[in-house]
Amino acid sequence: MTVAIYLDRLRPAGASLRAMALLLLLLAAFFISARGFSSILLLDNIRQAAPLGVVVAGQALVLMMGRLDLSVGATASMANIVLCSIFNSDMANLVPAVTATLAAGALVGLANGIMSTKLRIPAFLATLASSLIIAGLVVFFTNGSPRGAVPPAFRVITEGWLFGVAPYSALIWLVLLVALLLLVHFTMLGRKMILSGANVVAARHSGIPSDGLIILSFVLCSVLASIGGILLSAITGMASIGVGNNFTLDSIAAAVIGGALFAGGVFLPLGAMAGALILFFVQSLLYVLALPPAAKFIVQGLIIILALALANLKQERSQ
Amino acid sequence: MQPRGSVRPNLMLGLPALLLALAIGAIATTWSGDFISAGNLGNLVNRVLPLAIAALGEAVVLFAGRIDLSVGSVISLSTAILGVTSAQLGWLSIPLVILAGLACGAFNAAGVILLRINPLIMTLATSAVVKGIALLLLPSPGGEVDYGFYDAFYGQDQFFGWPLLLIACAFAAAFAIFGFTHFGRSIYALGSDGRAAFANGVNVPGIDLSVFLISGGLAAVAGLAVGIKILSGDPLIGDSFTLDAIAAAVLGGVALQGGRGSVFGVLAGAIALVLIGNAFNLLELNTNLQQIAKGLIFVAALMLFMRGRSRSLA
Repeated sequence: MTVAIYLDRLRPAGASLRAMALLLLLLAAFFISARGFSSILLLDNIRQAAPLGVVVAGQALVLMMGRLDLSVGATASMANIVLCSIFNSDMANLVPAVTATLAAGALVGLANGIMSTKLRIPAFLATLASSLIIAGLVVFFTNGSPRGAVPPAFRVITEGWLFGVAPYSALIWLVLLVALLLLVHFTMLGRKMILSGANVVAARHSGIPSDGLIILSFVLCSVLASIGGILLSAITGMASIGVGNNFTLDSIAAAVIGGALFAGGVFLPLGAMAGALILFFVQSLLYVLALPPAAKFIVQGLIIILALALANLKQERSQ
Repeated sequence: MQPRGSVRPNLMLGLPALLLALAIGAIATTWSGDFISAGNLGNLVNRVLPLAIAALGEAVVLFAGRIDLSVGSVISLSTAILGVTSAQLGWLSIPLVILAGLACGAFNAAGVILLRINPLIMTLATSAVVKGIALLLLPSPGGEVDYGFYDAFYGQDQFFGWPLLLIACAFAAAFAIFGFTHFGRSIYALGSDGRAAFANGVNVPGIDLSVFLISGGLAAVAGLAVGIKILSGDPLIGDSFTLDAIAAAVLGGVALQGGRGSVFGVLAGAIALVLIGNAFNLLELNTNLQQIAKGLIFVAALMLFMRGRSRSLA
């Protein structure tokens, strides 16, 4: 009986399935143009999409709480700088580098969470301000020319393949998604978070500490953004300013494609995964078509509008 | 709690920003003799102009309980259009820029009204699209703006000049609209309580369209002021304006939930922000520290003005 209930929670939501269907269509077009299916090619793309995918998972979590985090890009960029400067190309610094990066991310999330709950600042403005502050701090401390790099051995997390069949970065992404799925849909804490996101007044009346849960979601989101920044650093290999800035809009676009609602109360890990991959494939397509980089912004914006317009249309039909 | 949307108490809303501006001005004057000089005052008016105009547009949207995050991108696009076209088109590039700004506003309004997308997200998406268009037109800062524009508009950077007149006219017109017209009252009404406004016959889509058009058009005017000032186009120069415009409005006592705020408060907020920046420059503070300080001031302003109002905005 209990098992059946748990299994039921694993059934993907309609929005996730629609995102998956769109992804499959896109993949079909991709492999037809590449003349034949190749699992290596597919896995290699997933490997490169992993940094964005991890950030999207965090953004989806904050969206579930009915908030928006506009600082994930700045946080990922900061993670790149902190990681590279502490690593300084020496694998011996692995533990302090990764710990400090994740701690810095957690601190950003804590500040965002406190601003948007205890100080009652609308989350999008609080996070917009914190992204400004983070970017200023990064340039201030590095004097505009960051130093340091990740050691070659560390780059295995994005360049390496487990047993030669599965990229490590894809596995990290998958593990994080499953962990979030379990947290949100299979623990009491997660259920309380969903309720707070769906209806904060009802949650408060039920004695749920909504403020604390919202702060928790911001901390998790910023830590995930830092992990995204770490994965990105492993791909690029060195410190550079603003390397993750595109993650802010990308993560919102991907989460929306994956069925996230701005009203909150919805968390779809499968949709978040499909959304990140769809966005990644669309952007590779722009690259293949040799469109100017500016086209990326236009597509980003149009995708957000289109996805939300379709979601609204569907909602109206069902009412 | 004062009645929302009434005119007289609203004048008081700008008081903290006005006092802040006066205090910074007083400190800056005692600290540096250059502050009150004719040269610096003219320079200050020129710097207040784009922010005040952009913030006025943002405030009109905020009065209606919406928000516009595309102001900065529209400013960037305006300078890019000006930089690319003014050599061939001459004066005609100015109406072209304003048309482009209105088009951005119409695009925002279309998403909010027809597609029913949350204004916050719609304008965020628009800002990405508009930024992309600006970058397509002008991939890196450049282009050129006729020096004649600068000469005609800014002249010798004096205090009493076209920029001051433009600010005065824009805010006087806005004061008249929000104080004495049915249209202005309808905007406040929509911001205070959308359902009640609709039930009382306010044309909600019409107001939505108007406020986004006003915001887009004013952002384009602000962009013109910026482009003529720097004599070139820059596809990224507007980025900081979105937050600055919202900050100026909030400092001036505009409620982010809509229905409350005065246009003179917005002007005082814009002046205060520019004075803070000017004081930083006189203190020779590092540019990055300025950015950090601006972020912190914004958070502090929001903290002070959001007290006791708990409606969450995404």
